Order: sequence, then structure tokens, then C-alpha cells
Amino acid sequence: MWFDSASVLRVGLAADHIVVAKGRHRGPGNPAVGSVQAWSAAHGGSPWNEALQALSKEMTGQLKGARRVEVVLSNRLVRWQLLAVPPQLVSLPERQVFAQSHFASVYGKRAENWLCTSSSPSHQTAVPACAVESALIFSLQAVCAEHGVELRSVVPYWSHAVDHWQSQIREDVYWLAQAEPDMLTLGLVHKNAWLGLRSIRTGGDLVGSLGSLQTQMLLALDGQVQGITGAIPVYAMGNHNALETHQSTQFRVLQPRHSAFTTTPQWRLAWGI
Amino acid sequence: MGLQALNINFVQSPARMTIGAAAALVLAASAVCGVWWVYDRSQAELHALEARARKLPSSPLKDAKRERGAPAAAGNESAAPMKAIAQLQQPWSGMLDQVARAAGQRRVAVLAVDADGANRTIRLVAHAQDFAHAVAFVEDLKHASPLSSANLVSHEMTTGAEPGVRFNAELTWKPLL
Repeated sequence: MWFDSASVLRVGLAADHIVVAKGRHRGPGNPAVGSVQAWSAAHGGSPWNEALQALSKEMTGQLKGARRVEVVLSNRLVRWQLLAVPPQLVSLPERQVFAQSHFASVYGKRAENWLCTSSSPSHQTAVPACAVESALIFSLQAVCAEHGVELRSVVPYWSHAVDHWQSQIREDVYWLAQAEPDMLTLGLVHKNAWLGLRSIRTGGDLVGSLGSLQTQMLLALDGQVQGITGAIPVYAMGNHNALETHQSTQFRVLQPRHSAFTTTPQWRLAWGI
Repeated sequence: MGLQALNINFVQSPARMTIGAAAALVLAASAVCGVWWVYDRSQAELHALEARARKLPSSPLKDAKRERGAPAAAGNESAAPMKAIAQLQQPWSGMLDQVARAAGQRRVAVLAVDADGANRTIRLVAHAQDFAHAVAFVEDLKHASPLSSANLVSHEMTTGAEPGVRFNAELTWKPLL
């Protein structure tokens, strides 16, 4: 039903920081209402415990009164795979089971405690599939239930940003990179089909990590795809502090319009852009 | 056509009423109201015809014709109105109530109703949020009096703004005794 957009709490969840903001349902709104909290990610245990404690405090503090929560998960907290989903798997539960089986075949027993899902099947092409630890989702639901708010969505940063930006890209073939402070996720798209999708910890070297991932993915393709010639443009998005400094002919940064997203890139995680 | 949207969300939020769904429900309600209005008007016409028929005096000329062996012609004259009366006396009210009740319980939007009184069938076009709700809707109607059968004839998964399943169902009811 229709609802008051100001009552939506947008949460960007990472292993070492959390961004919490109240904002409009659509569009960037006013990201000044909220907070960014960071901590060292070197603690033991689950990487999101600190984030959930901070979220709980925010709900009882200045952001009290929100009725719905929308969470965007950093790519540090999820895993991606490209998956050839059979077209007959049209329902979400079917796709979840199929994705679970695939992640189990790749990661073994670790995947038993993961929640897996994929995009809808696409004709004869692979689609991104994502896994997250079930405990994170259950913990988020518990925190929201404790404060009497509805957990409306938990969406991976990559998924949200791709859906937000892809309409602005016109090339047939391109790299789509998402740069976070210590993480790079890279996809290769050719004629609206996914050819590759990988993530890597950058250790602060964004350019070096990008080159490394590109090489790995092109080698994995091993000339299987015809029609890819010349330099492939890289479209970059994400909440990396220095992303704009790499802007060039081949490295095009997808920038949100609101100036607050430029001065404080961390806000982008909460909005998933 | 661009890159297909990923649409990944780890939380299944409860079904919410979108503007499109609300419009579909309004359309369905209008269709049901339209059918009800036609039924109500037909019932009024039927009662008026029956009243007029009761007031007509018995004609000596008709009696004479009947005696001269003209019962077949008289039978043909009266067959059409009798057939119309029989159709109008079908249990429309009960059936439409059952369809509306099942649609409300299973969150199904009835998009079109095509009733055939002569063959005692109703064909429905409807939209449900998923296949399970469509099947449950038809199952509910199978056990709803005065319906005698309810079958899911075809279905098609829909995507886009209103994801779900659009389906056709055929209902039949018991003949009047």
C-alpha cells in the first residue's frame, strides 16, 4: 500500500562500517539525516555483529520512528557466482534451491548455512547468483522485530547498483566495476549477457586489482566469445573514496547527482548506488 | 532491450497492494457489479413477464386451434420465452457470491466473467500472485455449492510490474431440478 516515504530507514551494512539514513523511497532524498559509523573489522566472530549493534542503537536514537528498513549489503558480506539457471525454474523457491546446490558444489559444507538466490533465468545465458550467511538475515530480522519495524529488503550492493545504473550504458560490451574501500567486484557484459563476475580484496590497490581481475576473466573466457575487440570500457560505481580520481576515457565513473554523495561517498552504500 | 534486472532480495516481504493491482481489483469489482446489474434487471423483466402471462385470459380461438391439431405451433411459440425464463432462473447470485468469496480469500483478481446459462458454464480470467494461489482459488470453487465442477484450463506466468500468474478457469453448476 502507499506509505510515508520518510518512515523508511536506509541501511548500508559493511564489515567495518554502517551507514544509516532516513530518506525518500525513490531518489537520493536528503542523505544528511543519518549517520556513518566505522570500526575495526579485526574483531573475531561474525563480521556483522558490530554493525547490528550500531543499527539497534540508531533505531532507538535519532532515527527512532522508522517503520520500514531497507538494507544494502556490502560485497564483503556476500558471494557471487554466474549460474546457468534452467528456464523452467520460474519460481523463486526453485531458483533458491538450484543456487544453493550450485554454491554447495563450489564451497562445500560452508554453503549449508548460506541463503542463496539468483536472478530470473535468461535465455541461454548465465545470470548472477548470490549467497549470504543465513545468520545475518535472521539477525537483521530479529533486530527489526525487536524495534517493531518491517525489514522490507536486504539487497546486495552490486545487485542494487547494477539495476540502478545499467540503463545509462549504451555499449555492446563493457566492464562493470564496483569499488568499495577494500573490495572490487567486476562483471563483464556482452550484448546484454553476463560473461564473467568476480570479486577480489584490493588491499588498497584499486587499479592493480582491476587489471588482475580483468586478466583472470579474459583468460577464463579463452576466446570463447566472438566480437570482442579493442579496449573494453570500464564503467565504475561504488563508494570508494578515490573513485572519481580515476575518471578517464576508458574508466567512466557513474556518479550520483546529489552533491552529498560526492562529498561523503559512504552514503552511496545506504542508497545502493 | 537492456541488461535484465537482477532483482535480488533476500527478504520476501509480504505481498503489497500496488497501484496496478488496485486498478485490477477495481476493474474486477466493476465486472462483477456489471454482471449483477444485468442479472438483477433480467430478474425484474422476468417477474413482469410472468405477471403479464398470469393476467392473460384463456382464448377460445386458441382452444379451438389446439383442438384442431395445432399443438406443435403453440409449443414453438412458447418455447423461446420458456427457455429464456429457464436461463434467468439459474442460481447466478449464489455462484457469483462464491466466486467473490474465493477471490477475496485467495487474493485473486477476477478480470473477466463469461457466463453461459444454456450450457451452465462460467469462464473466468483471473490474476493471482502465484500459481499456488490460483490452484487454491479453483480448489475452493470445486467445493462451493451450487457449483458442480471447477477446472483450471490454462495459466501463464507474468513478469514485470505485476508478477504472478494469469489463468483461465471454467466452472459448471448443477442443473435445476
